[in-house]
Amino acid sequence: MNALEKITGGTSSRRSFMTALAAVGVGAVVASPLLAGNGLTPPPPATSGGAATGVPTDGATQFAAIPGRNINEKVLNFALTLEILEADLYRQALNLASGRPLTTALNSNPSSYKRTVGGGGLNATLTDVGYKYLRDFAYVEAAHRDVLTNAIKSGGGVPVVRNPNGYKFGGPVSPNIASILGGILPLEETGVRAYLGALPYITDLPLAQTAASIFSTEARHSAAINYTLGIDPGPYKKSGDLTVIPNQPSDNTLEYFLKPKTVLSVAGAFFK
Amino acid sequence: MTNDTVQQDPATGRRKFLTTAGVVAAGMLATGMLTPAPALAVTPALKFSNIPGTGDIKVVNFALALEDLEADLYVQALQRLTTGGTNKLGKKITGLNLSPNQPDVAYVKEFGVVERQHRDLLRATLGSAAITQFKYDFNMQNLTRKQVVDLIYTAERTGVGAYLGAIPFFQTRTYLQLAGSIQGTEARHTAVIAAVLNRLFREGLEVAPLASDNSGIDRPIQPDVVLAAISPFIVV
Repeated sequence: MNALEKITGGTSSRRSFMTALAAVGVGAVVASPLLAGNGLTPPPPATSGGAATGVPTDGATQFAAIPGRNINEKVLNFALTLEILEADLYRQALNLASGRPLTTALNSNPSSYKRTVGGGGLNATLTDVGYKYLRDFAYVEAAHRDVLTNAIKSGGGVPVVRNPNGYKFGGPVSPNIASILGGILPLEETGVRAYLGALPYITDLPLAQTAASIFSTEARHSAAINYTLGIDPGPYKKSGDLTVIPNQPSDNTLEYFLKPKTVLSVAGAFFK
Repeated sequence: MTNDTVQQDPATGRRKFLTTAGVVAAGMLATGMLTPAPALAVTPALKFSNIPGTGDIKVVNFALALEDLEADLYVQALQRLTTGGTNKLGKKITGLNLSPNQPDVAYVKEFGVVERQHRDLLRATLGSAAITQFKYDFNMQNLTRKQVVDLIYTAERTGVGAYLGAIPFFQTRTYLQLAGSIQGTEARHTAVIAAVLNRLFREGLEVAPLASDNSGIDRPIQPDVVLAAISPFIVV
């Protein structure tokens, strides 16, 4: 399977979906022709009224690889694709930090986990804090996954499923808190950018509210991990990041985003 | 999520008649005719229906009201934590003379710049439709170091929920991504300030909702609840 197929849970029972994937191509980044470089026209001056000009029009392309009967369901499945990945990688991270085999399922009792690795250069306090984050966020991402799965099901849709081959860290990770957090961080930061990039495609404002409510917890996680690792809490611009407005005053004024297709390409590094 | 009761009287289905003070406050919001004295908090509390504009503009003005408060809060907080100053009401704030290397001082300084940028950005976006700038009394000169940082934490946390609560009041998606891009930074600030409070004062705050708390998902706060919370600081 190619990366996109892995990401979106392609199986033999999803033949038409696979066809769609092939049509998208892996890692293709659509050039943004518009002013802000983000596929959106800049918001109009307030006095010009409420025309929906800040709404992207490339939804069909961006979510072509994602199953769903309509754009809102596709956005949910896109988010679920990431949450399944995050939940699984956190589970592995927590196992690694707790001396358990990586394949062990998440225990229903959070207090059953005890740290068995060192800080990797973090002081004692931050080592404990970092381990607590690994444990707490592992359950949070699992909860996000379940919320999205249930939301799609309750709407009559079919949720995407776990990659049959599983997930891996994007690079080498050593058994210490600093290294493990460093392995998780790119995923959280990508999650922030993924939600913000997907947000304006949602046509239903209450659903957008829900998506934003998950989005901001990913931003909290990212900031907390950054803080623990002693780096700027962000937002900070990374390669490929898009901005909501042109000429942002400084690096940390606004969150950055990525287009959905770009996110799927980036996330491919975490798929086995 | 809808909240029609904000603007509709549930009994009559008609628009709520604004209280006298509400009309005054709304008038000042719209026209910028803020009187310099006496220094009294706006009463009764502002409501979303007092925020000028309709549709998306009203929502962006609501966001501006928050950012205006946050920007001024950070200015006064930094004055209090460091070398002191005078707020826009002319109140003298004595400094606690903390080192710039202290984590609360460093982040209050850093995030204060960001909040000022948010305020200016929203004001520029709204142009002539923007609400006027308020003055704020946080009783800053009497707050302890911990109380200052607690207040920052509360303001940021309120900001996270306020943006979420405002989303359903948009009429279009025009400003949705812009609002989200600000809201995410408020969330980052909230997490970091929580971590700083834990570090300095062992407060035991969670940096993000636990799985047992609303499935680890941030909660929206209704605009009227937000305005009721911030109104005591707004001086008219």
